[in-house]
Amino acid sequence: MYESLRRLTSGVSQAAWGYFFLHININIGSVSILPAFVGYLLMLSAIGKLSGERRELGLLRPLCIILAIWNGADWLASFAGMSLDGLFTPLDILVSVAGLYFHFQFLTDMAALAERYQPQGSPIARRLINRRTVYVTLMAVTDVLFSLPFELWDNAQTVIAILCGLASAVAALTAMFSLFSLRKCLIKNAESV
Amino acid sequence: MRDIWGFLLQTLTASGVALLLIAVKAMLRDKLSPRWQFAAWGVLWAVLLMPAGLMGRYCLINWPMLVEVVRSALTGKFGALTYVTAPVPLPPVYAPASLWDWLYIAYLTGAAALAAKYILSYVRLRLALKKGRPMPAGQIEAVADAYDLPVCRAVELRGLQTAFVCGIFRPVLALPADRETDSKVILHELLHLKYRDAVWGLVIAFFRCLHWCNPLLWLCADMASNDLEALCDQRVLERLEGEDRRDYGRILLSMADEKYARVPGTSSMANGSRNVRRRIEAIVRFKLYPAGMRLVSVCILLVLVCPILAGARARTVTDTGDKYIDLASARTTRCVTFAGAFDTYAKAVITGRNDYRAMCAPLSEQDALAGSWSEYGGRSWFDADLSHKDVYDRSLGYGIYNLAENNGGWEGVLVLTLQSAPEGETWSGNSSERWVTVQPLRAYRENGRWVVTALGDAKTCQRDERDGVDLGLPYIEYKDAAADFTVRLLRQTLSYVDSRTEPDVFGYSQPDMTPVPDGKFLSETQETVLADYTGPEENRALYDRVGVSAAVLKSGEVRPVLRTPKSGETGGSTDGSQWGDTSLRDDWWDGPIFLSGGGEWGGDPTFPELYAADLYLNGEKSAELTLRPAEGGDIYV
Repeated sequence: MYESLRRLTSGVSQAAWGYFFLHININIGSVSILPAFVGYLLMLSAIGKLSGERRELGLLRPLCIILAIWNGADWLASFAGMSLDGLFTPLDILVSVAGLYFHFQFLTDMAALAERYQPQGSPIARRLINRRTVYVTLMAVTDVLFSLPFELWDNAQTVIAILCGLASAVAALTAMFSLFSLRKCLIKNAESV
Repeated sequence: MRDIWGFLLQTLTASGVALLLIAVKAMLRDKLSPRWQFAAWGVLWAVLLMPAGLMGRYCLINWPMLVEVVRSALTGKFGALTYVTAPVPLPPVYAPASLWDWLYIAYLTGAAALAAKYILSYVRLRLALKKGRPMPAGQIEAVADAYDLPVCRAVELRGLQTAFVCGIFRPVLALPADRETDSKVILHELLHLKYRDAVWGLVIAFFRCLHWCNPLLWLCADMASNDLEALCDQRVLERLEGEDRRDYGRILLSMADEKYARVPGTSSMANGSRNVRRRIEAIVRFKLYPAGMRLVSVCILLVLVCPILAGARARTVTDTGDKYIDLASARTTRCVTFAGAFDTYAKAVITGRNDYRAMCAPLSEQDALAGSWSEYGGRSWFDADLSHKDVYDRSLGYGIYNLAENNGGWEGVLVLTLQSAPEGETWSGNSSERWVTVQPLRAYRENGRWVVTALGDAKTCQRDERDGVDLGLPYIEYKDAAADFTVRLLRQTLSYVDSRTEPDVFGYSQPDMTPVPDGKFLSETQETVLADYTGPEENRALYDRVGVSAAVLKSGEVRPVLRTPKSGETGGSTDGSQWGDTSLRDDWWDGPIFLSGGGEWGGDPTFPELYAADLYLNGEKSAELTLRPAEGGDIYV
């Protein structure tokens, strides 16, 4: 029981740090020192640890690998001052779709785990579901706005898209805090065992 | 589609989207509901119904350019652009004359033959159904009542392998006469009936006919049909409970080896062993998808639909050095504004690049451009009139002077600054007296792209920049006379697309010579007011001061009240009004008397019909004038 809770705690912790790496960027030149692919690798490890608790998480493994590879390649390209975004539209769309589904299902599964392990009356699961909805919706709106022809709307479209991108990052970071709260609950549970 | 190239463009565009959809569906096959899996095909159907290359945009991949490359390489012609006016084949407008025309006839024949085959098989099926024995009331009505579903005429047919619904407006449910049909099979067919799934069968058959020679789209048609069956399974399972669901799976399993024939306008539960296996896998995964799943399903569809339907537009030409690729890229990188077309032309002249010229050249000139590519090697473009390659001062860019709308197009004079005086001429080094090349141009729309042609030969001349109008360059002259004076107002406009680059560490900025095909003009206007003495010699002594105030006079509007110029004052306003008053000294009657001049940034770059002007002599208003464009004067004076 203790071992299982420890594993669960570690998985949730990795998931939370995963979102940290995805949405906090500190750059040296064009290279990020908190690369997003590390975030996906952490989430991949979290999936391995948590899929025993939540079978559906296992289905996310291939998507997480795709996202980790894409972001890893993008990070490597950044050393040459390049970006993979916009290089080949079909791949951009594929990665956007993979990202949307991945985060939707991942946070849904995290909320399901929270529902099971949070103290009675705790809002963690509900918060995670709310953040998930906001995050995924804003991700989609950002992708849609960036995909529309810019010459139609001029700068307003860019500004809205950037604001949506920022808001979705804020939603993801608040989801990260909820995951840390869940980890705290799990640690308490482990200590009580 | 009026030729084989149009069909190629349409079918390739759809193929690109089909490949993306297959990849996305493979990625989400076990994750999203059959409802989403079927709805996703709507994206492909939308693309199939939209003419490829609409408004100069392409879907995912620059197919218009690839088609042009193939077309030029195979036909050796450059003076054509592939257009799809309708997503369906249209009869050719001329008798076939080349292999490509005959290929199009072959394509049309294939599409018509397949359509005929489908229609024939449908008619035969309906005739066969007429011979069927009507089903007695009972089982079908019981299932319909239990699940609140509509019913239709039902018949039994001998030799039938499985049940199906045939028809859209007068549907018939056909059941095998040789064996008893399970109520779940009837439920499946009644659900097809309720949701009018036969319509989708018809749509799929329609696209099969249009793209009969594209195996990828046939694969998509098969996949869409299977997804439709899986969706119907999902609907059945949503209505069944516990053991009934397992029974339904067993029934499907029993159909795995059954033969099936797909006829447009029908829906059949059996659809081949491999597909049935997939459907059973879907049933194993079956769950009532949570409410949030709808959100992500819609989000994913939007993320797919928007970039695909909005498309993208080529903005820059390729730089491979290959004639076929680079010229095809240039032809398909459309200038979407007249300003973009002028900008592209000017930069083609400055850089001497053939591909830039191809971007804005009419189709009739494209073959010649391809010829000069071969003649001079690489992309170099030499125009007989503008053969000044490497002599232009790039840092000064270009200017389009006196831009005016004319007969649906825009006309203006291209002015390029030379680095030094032409042979046989001298230059003082004064920047206001630089030598320039001028050439009148016209931009007009040709098949949705703006193109530029020269209206006359290029000439070299010397600038004469003083206050206001550059007298060395073309301008419009407005004039009128009163008392002993002729008042002249010279107007000149300058337009250019902003191509400034970020200054380097030394603050030096060189204009970017990459064309901006969607560019917009920034404009400046320059005006100069002059007065010429035309009176007799004996009257000269009567005048010691002359002044003029002028403003735009719009036809049909009341003459504006003009500002009274104070003694020695000169000025202008952003509304185009000018005023000036000057004392007359020495031999003032010997040449034009400068009264006012200046420029406005962002002013109205058009040429007014008239100017209202007041003439002041010795500080007193002497006459009200109406300045009209000078006889014979035009923007190319």
